[in-house]
Amino acid sequence: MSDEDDLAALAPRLVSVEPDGDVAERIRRLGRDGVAYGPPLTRFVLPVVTAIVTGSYLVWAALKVIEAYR
Amino acid sequence: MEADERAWVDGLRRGDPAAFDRVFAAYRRRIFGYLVRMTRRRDVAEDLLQEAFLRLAQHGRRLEPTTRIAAWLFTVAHRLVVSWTRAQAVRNQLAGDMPWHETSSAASPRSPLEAVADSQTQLALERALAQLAPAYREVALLVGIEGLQPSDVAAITGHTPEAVRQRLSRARSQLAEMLGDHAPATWRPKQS
Repeated sequence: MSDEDDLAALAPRLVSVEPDGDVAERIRRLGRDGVAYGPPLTRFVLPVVTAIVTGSYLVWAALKVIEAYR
Repeated sequence: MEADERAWVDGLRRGDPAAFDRVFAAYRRRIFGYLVRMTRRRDVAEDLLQEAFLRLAQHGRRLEPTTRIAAWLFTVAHRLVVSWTRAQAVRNQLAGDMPWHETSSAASPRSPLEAVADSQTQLALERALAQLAPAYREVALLVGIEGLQPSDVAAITGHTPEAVRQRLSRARSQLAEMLGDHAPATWRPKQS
């Protein structure tokens, strides 16, 4: 028998383990929402807002540097 | 790829919540079993289970039609375990510098499943699995218990199939030694 077969013989002897019922239900509910509506809007909005704020600051800083050397 | 699984992938790609229900029902025990045996903590395993399935829900529409869900979920679960283990190592290192530090439950080789074992054989098996080094435990669980191919496990863990087979062989030898009389009757002593 191969190592795979030997170890497969252990599978039926393992303790059967389940997540807590409330936890499983919560995951199922969140998962259904995730599938139906896709990722939360904040996942797209936050990077865009961060990029706009960071970009504006960099432009402002560059203008200040240019202004100082004039 | 089975017809059921293809239908589930199609459903996830269409954003059908019923497809998620079916995948969750089919895989939650398997993924949870892997997570609880790798982390040795039920609470952490439940958190990681949630994270793994939420990632599936969020990536559902971007799955390839040929995606094999078991391999996909175990890959995510493996990465979550690696991240958690690294974070745990840092926490333990930091806590080790504190005078009030005590050994965390994660550092103990005891599995939470030992407490619910029905028989001496189950107890011995869960204890032996918990005592295996994580790298050996992982391949024993994925190939032996979950029935994945060594090539799939190689892709999941980022090792070569040959390295997976070596780990599998060592895991089997160590388990045989630890299980003693509790080892299955079909196991024969190996010549090494």
